[in-house]
Amino acid sequence: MKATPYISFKDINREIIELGGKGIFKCYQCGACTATCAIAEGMFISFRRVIKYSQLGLVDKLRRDLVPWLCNVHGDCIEACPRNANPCEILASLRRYQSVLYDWTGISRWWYFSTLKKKLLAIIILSGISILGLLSLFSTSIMNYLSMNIFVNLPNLLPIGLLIVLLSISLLVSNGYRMYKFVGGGKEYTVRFFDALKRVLSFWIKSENEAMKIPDKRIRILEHMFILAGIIMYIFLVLLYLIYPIIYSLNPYNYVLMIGRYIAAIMLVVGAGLPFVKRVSKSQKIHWYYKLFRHSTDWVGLGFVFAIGLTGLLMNIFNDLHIYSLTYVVYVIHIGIVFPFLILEVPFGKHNHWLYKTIANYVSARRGLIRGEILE
Amino acid sequence: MIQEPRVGVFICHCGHNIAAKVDVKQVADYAKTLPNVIVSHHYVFMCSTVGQELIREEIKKHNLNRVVVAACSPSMHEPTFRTAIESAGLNKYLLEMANIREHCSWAHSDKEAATEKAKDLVRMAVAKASLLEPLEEEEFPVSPTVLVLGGGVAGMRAAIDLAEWGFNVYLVEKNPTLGGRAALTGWLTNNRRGADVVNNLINKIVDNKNIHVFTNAELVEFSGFPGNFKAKIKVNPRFVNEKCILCGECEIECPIEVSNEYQYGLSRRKAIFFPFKAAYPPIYVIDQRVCIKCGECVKACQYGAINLAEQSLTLDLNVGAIVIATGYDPYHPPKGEYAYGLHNNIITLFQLERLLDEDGPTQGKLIIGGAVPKRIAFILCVGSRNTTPSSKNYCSRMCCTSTLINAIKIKEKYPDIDVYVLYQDINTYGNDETLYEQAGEKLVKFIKFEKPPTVDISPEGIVIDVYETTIQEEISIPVDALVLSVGMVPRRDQNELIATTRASCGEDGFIREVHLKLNPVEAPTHGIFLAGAVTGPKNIIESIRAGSAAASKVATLLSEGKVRTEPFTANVNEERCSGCRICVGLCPYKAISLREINDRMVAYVERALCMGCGTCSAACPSGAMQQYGFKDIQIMAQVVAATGGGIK
Amino acid sequence: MSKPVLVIGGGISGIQATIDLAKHGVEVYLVERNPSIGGKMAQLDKTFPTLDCASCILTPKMAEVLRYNNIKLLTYSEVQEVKGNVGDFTVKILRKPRYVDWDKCTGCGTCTERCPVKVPDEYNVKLGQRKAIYIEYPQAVPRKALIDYSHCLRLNPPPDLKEKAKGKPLCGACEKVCPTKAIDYNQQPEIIELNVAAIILATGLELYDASNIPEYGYGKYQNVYTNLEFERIVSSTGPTNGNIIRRSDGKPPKRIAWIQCVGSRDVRFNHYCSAFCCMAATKQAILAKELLPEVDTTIYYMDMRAFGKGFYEFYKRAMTEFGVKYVRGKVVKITERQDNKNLLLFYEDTIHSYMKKDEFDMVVLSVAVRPNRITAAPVKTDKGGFIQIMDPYMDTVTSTTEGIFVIGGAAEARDIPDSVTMASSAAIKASTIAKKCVVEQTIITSGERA
Repeated sequence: MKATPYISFKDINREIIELGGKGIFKCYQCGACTATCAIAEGMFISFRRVIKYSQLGLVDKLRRDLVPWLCNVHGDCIEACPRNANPCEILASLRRYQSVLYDWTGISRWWYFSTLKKKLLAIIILSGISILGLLSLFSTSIMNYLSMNIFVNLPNLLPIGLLIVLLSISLLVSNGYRMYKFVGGGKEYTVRFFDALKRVLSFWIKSENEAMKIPDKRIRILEHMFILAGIIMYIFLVLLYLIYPIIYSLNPYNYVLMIGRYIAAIMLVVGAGLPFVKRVSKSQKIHWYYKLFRHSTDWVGLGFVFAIGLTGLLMNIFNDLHIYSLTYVVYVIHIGIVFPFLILEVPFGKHNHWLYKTIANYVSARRGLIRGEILE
Repeated sequence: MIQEPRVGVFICHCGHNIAAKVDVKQVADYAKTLPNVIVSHHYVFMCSTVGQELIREEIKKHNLNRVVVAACSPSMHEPTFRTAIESAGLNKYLLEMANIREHCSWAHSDKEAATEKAKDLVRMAVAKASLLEPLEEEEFPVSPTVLVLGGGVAGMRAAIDLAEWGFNVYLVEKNPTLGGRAALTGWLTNNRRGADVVNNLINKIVDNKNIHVFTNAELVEFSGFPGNFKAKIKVNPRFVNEKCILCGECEIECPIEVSNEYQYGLSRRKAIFFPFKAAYPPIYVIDQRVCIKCGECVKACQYGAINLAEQSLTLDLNVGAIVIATGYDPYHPPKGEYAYGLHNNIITLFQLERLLDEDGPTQGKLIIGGAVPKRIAFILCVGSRNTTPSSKNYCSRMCCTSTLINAIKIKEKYPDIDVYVLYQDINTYGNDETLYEQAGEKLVKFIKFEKPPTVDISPEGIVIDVYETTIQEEISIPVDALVLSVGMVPRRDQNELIATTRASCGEDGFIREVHLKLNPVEAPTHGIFLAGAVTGPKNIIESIRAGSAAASKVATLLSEGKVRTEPFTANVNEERCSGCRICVGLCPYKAISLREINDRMVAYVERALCMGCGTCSAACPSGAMQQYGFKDIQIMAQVVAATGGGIK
Repeated sequence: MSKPVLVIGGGISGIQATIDLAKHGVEVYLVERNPSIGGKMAQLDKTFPTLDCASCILTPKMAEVLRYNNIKLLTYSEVQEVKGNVGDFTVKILRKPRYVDWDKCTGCGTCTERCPVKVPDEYNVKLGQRKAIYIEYPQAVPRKALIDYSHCLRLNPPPDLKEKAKGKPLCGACEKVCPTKAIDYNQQPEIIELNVAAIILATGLELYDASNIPEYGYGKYQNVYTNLEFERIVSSTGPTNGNIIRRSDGKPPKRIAWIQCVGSRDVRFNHYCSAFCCMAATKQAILAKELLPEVDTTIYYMDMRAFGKGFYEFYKRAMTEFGVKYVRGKVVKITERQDNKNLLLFYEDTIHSYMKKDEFDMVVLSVAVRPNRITAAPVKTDKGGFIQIMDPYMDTVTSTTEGIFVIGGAAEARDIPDSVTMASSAAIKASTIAKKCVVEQTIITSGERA
């Protein structure tokens, strides 16, 4: 009769609460969150169940569950919850907890459970290292355009940069692989790959389209899109720039690059800056979404993006105004932010979610958890 | 003296209520043609002052001796018309009503057919009215004394309320102390224990001169009728008198040690013992079932408070009413049910309450099996809601709330203990819902089951296997201690009570009330009132309220100093009665007994007890049993008239 | 002679307390805001778990109130002010004008037939209609007519008609037909002052406004009903004569759903549990099954609170004998189909753990109850608006002011047996106080008679 052997019982509730899921024990399992959710509408999943797992401390079950990563933070559940448990926030905290579980280095645990001060200290130390490293590579001050270009095109810089990116990616991917194994990826697949891909895409497009119709959600989705697009553009442009540096300022390629950089930087600044502005400005009613960011890592994550965007933007401006000394200073700061971002935030912090979300969507689609059609 | 019947028929229009569907004039004319009918009138409102005056005038004018009013339901205006004819000098039971509103005009749409039906109804009423006899109400003086059985919260509250109202109250408790189960209930709210509540009530009882408390006493005989019951009380010897100052010397010397029922078996006590801190009367008691009368205690007592030769005494009381507040027993799981009795760390909720109580065996420390458990689970609905073969059919109402209060208390005292609550439905009704919220805040974990969980005892400890329905997973929980939240069952000695008093029990085994909805504290037998958990599971607040409510009902019976009975009681024709006893067993009110008349056993109806249900007259094979107002001939006349026999 | 006791509220609790007090030999004033006593119970069809007809057990009690000489019934009256303390309360009561002389009125109902103005009927939760002069319902106690000032053409004519009439009095139909000449358009509000020994608050419950919960579309979707509305629909004395028909098309429904905990157990609305809705929904499902044997009934619940005597057995009976379906899950949203006005319910079946959608012809919301507010009495209320009981473990029904007792729904959401028990327990306490306050004579103010 015993279907499962002893399940490890661990009181993880206090940890979940620490990770921001303050309402975890308000849940009385009514299912309102699932029933109101646009995602659940198209999938055979229950957000309520994973909350129960964590209430009971069924860590094994929790580790195996994909559901937190399927949440798109539409926030309908927040208003539907009869106990004001804020399911959205609980899911966010469960994601953090799951990231901790997936991570083999233990850094993620430290990152999520340490105080903001400690986190900032770690970031400062890492930026310090990167800045010092940078200065040691090229210590002469840069006063003109030419030397700026020479600096950027230092032969060592590209491989070092790539190395750091590689390190970051490999940490993340190894954790992603662990996640894939935990959730039993590869097993119980019932839907073929392309079919699954088609379903995922059509489902997301449909559900996000629906969400876009509601102004509250639209602005939030746009913010997120700005950040996403900004980052992708940035990565693309930086790589392009590193591979094909600009020599002549009158080259049309240069203009494309310049405009692209501006757009990407502005996207990041706006996308990541808006939440800060809205959170800080007390005059207007704070929207539920901004109340969600209760955990320090969320703000750190957003801060990174904002800082990268801002420094990038300033760098462009100074460069185009030919104020090379400032460009240099900002550039150094920029690198000082990107480095900890790549080392800490991407593999261990909030910005790992793109990979985990992709895996979760992929696995659940292959398992046939996405309904053929969305409920009316 | 049988007079020649002179019937007056009065038909009411009730505005349009009757007149719109019934041709009242036609009915009135028809009524005149019926035998014995002297006059027949119709009027727009018979119940109005003018209508009543009309009836009175006609009675005097035509010397009428029977009155038929065809109007609304008798439950509405029968008292009105009775008063009217009484003021005209007639016996008020010489009235018969034909209900041509609710039974006719309101129910039909066809005017002609309705008129015919009204005629039928009037004809039937006239047929019966001709045979009506004058009846007299009987009045009995009552004794302003009340017997309250059971010294738990409900009984004590009833006693206090009755005494404050001015009645003399005998409070009879079977155990050596007042307080009942509530005294053993640990925490009720955050800062109040059952013992505190009991203490408050006891203080009020001690202060009140109208209350006479008999502990260690029981009701052995009960007879009589409302207002004048005879109760025989046996007071068992306590062997210790008021000289006792609770020094406790005797207890030390006593060689006999038994399990302490006042701690639900969690500790042991001597044969001479003091039940609990707040116990009343505050003197020691010897448990005569186990005492070997060795005399050690007598030697130890410096105050000469112990007398082993004390005898039981019997008291005869004359009481006006009785309040039964004998309470309940906790469900006792049979050995092996949820592994109860197979492991020391499996206890019941009642035992847990003792453990958490400061006056308990561990002074409020949660020590189960010698240590504070790290993980503790509650299983709800033990013994209730059909969970196991020996379970009862009903929900025990208080266990959910009680479990949550205790779970919260555990979490407050020991935040690191993992508390699991295995439930089917959490019944924290009303404002108790906040407890459910609080339990969540305190990180109590809830597991919902449909199929009762299984409990295994393994070398490592207790393991609960349960199918969690909300996550559809079979899970195993190893726990250090298991608490079975047992429900309430009727008292083991309830059958004796039923045999002594005239109470009866329902399907669930608890004492039955007259009406579940509107008379929850009255037994079907007049003069017997029910308070507290004797009628079914209740929490302490509800029991206390029921105690007060029962007191109120007693006051409604006894406040006037006399009881008046409706005259529609059963009556025995002693010559016809064969003494077959059929009626004795059938009477739901136990109003019929046999008595000897002319060397023959015949049925006898205690009129004060008879509620006029008619069961006996229907069952009587010889027709000896007749009910006033509904005699066979009267009913038969109606039936004959209805079927068109006799006159048309 | 002992001082009288005042009972405020003529629902089942108030009636029971009044009758008990009268039997204790105490003079009682029973004040009721509505034209008839009876309260919420009078609107019910049957009661759980015995399936007794509610009127059949209530109306005798209502009639009993009129039978005692020491009960003074003051309906259509409101308590405006309570002053003083235990044993000596001074109460001001407003007797609203009824424009009908109740001593003369016989309750024949002729006037109500002639009255030209139709108004939604409060007794039938506005599902039916009544006239501007009306008797609340056939079993009303006292069964007397009264005029609704705001809708009467004579008393409160609409401006356009008033202009046309040029100062001449309008309508007057009721006055013309009244056989006892009981209509009195000049009646004025009257304030009476009483001195009482104790006060029992039995102000009872009202339904929470379901339209505050937009997800369920009450008030927007035609086929969404409240539990009280459904109670009137199944009742044979109700607006549909006991036929369960849909508001949208008048057809009997094939599938009915009950949604529990609407506005209760919900921190957005009311924290508390309304205590009786689980059983009431079960009862309503059974009644629906009895009236329409083919109907499919489903109850959406979270915890089935079958806690009282005979409740669990009743719940099991509904399941096995009547085939009522129970689904554990909270319905979060209802949408209406445009074509046939059917309703789609969105919920998670928590036993299968994914979202479901079901279509129903009719939805009944088990709406939470909330206490009626009473501002006149000097008592404290809790967060939910319920009147606080000083110490439920000691004085059981005494409010925060000594001598003022609170019973029934005013104290906590409770079912009928609990309310009745509280009523009796308040009665003995009030009469104990009243008996101690001996006065030479009471100012007898006329109460209503049958």
